[in-house]
Amino acid sequence: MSVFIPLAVLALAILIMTFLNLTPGVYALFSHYCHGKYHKKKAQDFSFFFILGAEITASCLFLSTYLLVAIFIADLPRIAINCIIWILIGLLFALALASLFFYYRPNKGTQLFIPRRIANCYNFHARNAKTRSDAFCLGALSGIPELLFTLPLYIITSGEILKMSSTHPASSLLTVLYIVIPIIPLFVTRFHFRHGYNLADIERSRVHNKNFTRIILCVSYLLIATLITCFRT
Amino acid sequence: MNQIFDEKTIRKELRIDAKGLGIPSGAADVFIDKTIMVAKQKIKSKKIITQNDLERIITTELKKYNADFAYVYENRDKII
Repeated sequence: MSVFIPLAVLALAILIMTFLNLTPGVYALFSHYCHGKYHKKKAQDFSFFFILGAEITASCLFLSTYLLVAIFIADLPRIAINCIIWILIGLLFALALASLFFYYRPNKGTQLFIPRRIANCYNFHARNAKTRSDAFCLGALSGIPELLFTLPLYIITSGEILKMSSTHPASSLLTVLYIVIPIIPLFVTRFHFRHGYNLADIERSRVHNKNFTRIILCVSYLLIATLITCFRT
Repeated sequence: MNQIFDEKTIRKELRIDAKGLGIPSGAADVFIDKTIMVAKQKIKSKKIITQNDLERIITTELKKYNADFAYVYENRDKII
């Protein structure tokens, strides 16, 4: 039981990370414009740097959260930890509702909750990326507005991995898994582009799966919140 | 009218979209030329035209030639 709960929380967190839509959306747009402006080799090169940027941001954010949790939260007294856990549970319930009602804007496309000015900025930079560093920066910054949805997960999974590693030292290797998984949607999008799918096909499938994504996100957040409420308070 | 109907920019954007979608450049040029010609004709008869009107005209016209092309042009600001 002591291993199954953290593993379940981790699996659900990974599921949420793969269903979040901002970075794959920016990547699809970026890839489309790259294929439209440059020859195939250069477009693939830029794509690689975009993915590298996204990966580095994801790993930096997760590892810094892991470190902060290990240094500051793990040694706190039980009452303080309980207090933090209840705050996180509240946040998870709020995010479950937010993912159901606010994650997508209520209109035809797949516009996300982020402010329109930021979305336009991503749009502009995806359209006008000219160098590898542009691609890298765009990839690195594309996950930042979604921190609202990811940061509580980072904190919770860090706590769970720390707790598990005290009894099973090998489980700290799960951090690697947690770092690698969030960029899988980018590789899937890349795979689609390389196998003849275009932006229209990808966007149609995103629109088609919009409600499914909402439900998966909501249920996953609720399940994590329930697991933490039942087994960690 | 000159402020919003910048033919050169629209042509450039449409060419990028067409290449991104894998439409052969010759065919894309024909689609774009025809679309812009029709858009110009429709604009001529109106006193005032908004950006949305222009986009709607271009989308309707592109739909006749290639559904993906029209879809991407229509939704290019609605993806993120």
